[in-house]
Amino acid sequence: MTELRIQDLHVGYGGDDIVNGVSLTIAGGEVLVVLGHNAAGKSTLMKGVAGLATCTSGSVQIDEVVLDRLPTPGRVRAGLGYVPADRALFNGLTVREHLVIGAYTLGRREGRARVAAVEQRFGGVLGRLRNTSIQGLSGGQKQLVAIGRALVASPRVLLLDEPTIGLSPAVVTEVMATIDELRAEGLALLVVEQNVATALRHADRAVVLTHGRITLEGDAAKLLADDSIGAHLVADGDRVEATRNDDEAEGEPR
Amino acid sequence: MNILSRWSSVALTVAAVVVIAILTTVLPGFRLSLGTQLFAYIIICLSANLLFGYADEIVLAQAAIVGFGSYGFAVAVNAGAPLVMAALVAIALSSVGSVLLAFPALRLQGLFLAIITLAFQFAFSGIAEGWRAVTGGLNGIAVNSLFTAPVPGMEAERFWFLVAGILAVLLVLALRRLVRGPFGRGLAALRDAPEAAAALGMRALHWKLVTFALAGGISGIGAVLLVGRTAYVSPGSYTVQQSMLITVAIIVGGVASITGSVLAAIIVVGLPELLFALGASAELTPVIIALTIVVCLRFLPRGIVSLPGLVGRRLRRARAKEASS
Repeated sequence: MTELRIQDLHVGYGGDDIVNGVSLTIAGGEVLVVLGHNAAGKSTLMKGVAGLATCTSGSVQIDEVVLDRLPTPGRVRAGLGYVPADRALFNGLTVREHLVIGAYTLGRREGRARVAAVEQRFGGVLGRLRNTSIQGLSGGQKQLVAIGRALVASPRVLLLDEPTIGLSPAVVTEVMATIDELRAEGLALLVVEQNVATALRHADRAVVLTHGRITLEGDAAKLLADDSIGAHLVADGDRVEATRNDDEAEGEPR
Repeated sequence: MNILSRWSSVALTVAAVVVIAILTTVLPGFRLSLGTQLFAYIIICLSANLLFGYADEIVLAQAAIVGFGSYGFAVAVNAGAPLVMAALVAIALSSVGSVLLAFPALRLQGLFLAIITLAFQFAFSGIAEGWRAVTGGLNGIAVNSLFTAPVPGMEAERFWFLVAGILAVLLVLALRRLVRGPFGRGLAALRDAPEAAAALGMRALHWKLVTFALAGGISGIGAVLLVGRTAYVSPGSYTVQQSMLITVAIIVGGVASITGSVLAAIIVVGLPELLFALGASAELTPVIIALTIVVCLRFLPRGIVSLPGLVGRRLRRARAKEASS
């Protein structure tokens, strides 16, 4: 069984650390959601694990493979996938071209097979849109391209940074269903999310990050039922209520 | 690429080479020299657009990159090296000069990189003028052996026109293929979302080194042709003004466009000729450059290359309005 292990991780950008000693373990088939107010260090934690920000100390491991000194191609080969917060798609490239770039670390034949396999996922939507430039896609389709692009390299651990940001409630439901699907396939998923109630409903466990430290940790269902999580999200107290109200609108037509 | 476009591309290439071969035999000396200069600058502008347009690196030292190759070629030919060997030296030197700029490009972007490359350009000019033992200082280096073509019975200017024309056609085709293929997609990925590209396993260092080396090598080919045309190299041809002119010409011609690069070359070669024909002072060049860029950014932000599309859209809109009224 796949396991992502983060031990006492410190991440920064040359000055003070923004993530201060985070330790987490996520097993395959499990969704762990990271909550926290703005500038709590959530995205920096993701970037530190992905190898995009400097880890000043601590360790990241996928099973027995230590990622600390591995450059990003090595991390991808070790089974790590990353979907950035703003989706970070490539202007002017088609859906197919995004998936082909996702196969960057694979051999040509394996890459082709994996791109074809990912095109068949999500009801074949990426295959149908293969020649469409990303400028012509909806927000939800763009998110599927970003997730599909990361899935081409067959990750065992997937980091999703705010996958529902800027999406309508109906599309949020679709994205969360995709996360459920990936969990069912045995991926270990580390998800940063602002949409607290939705995230907790789909996660197995959750942690709250405050100033780069874990201040609350527990079973997602219990935290969802426990109103005290609002106190831990400090600046997000209002947002918990707001997102709960948003969720009531889920399922409405786009 | 489908079969039809492949065949049309082959047919166009053959036609272009035939036209160049015919022009080689019929054009008078002055036109041949101007043509060689144009072909050389098509190659140089392709290289500059690869960095500036496709890789989004603001490099204001294109003339210096070319200068490395030109001096290398001149010195190698005068030292007795065969032409092909001297050309390889030029390509290698321009490539190395360009790669030196890849390292600051790893940490700096936009205006900060532009300033560093500008400093590099000034340093090159300083060395070219000051290191007299190698560069001949302000007097430059004459390469008298280039007045004779290596092909018996052929005039040197016809030889260089033919070689420059064929190389320009081949490089236009090669670059077109390159930027539309995996390399172009990789550059687009690193330009638009470098973090996402890195997370997929792309290493910015490798890509920048390869892109700068390739662009430098292409410039080196242009450098050889420029020296071949005049049999002379001097610091005056590789100044900061020339770097600025190349960059502005690319903005005016069309950024990240092969056709835009060809248009840029026409501007680089044609603008001084036009000023000369109009009897205007060469000192007016910076003023014309400034006005051109302002007008272009106001009316054609995507360069002259976007003009047909813009006119087409306007015409379609006008027709639709007529039809609806």
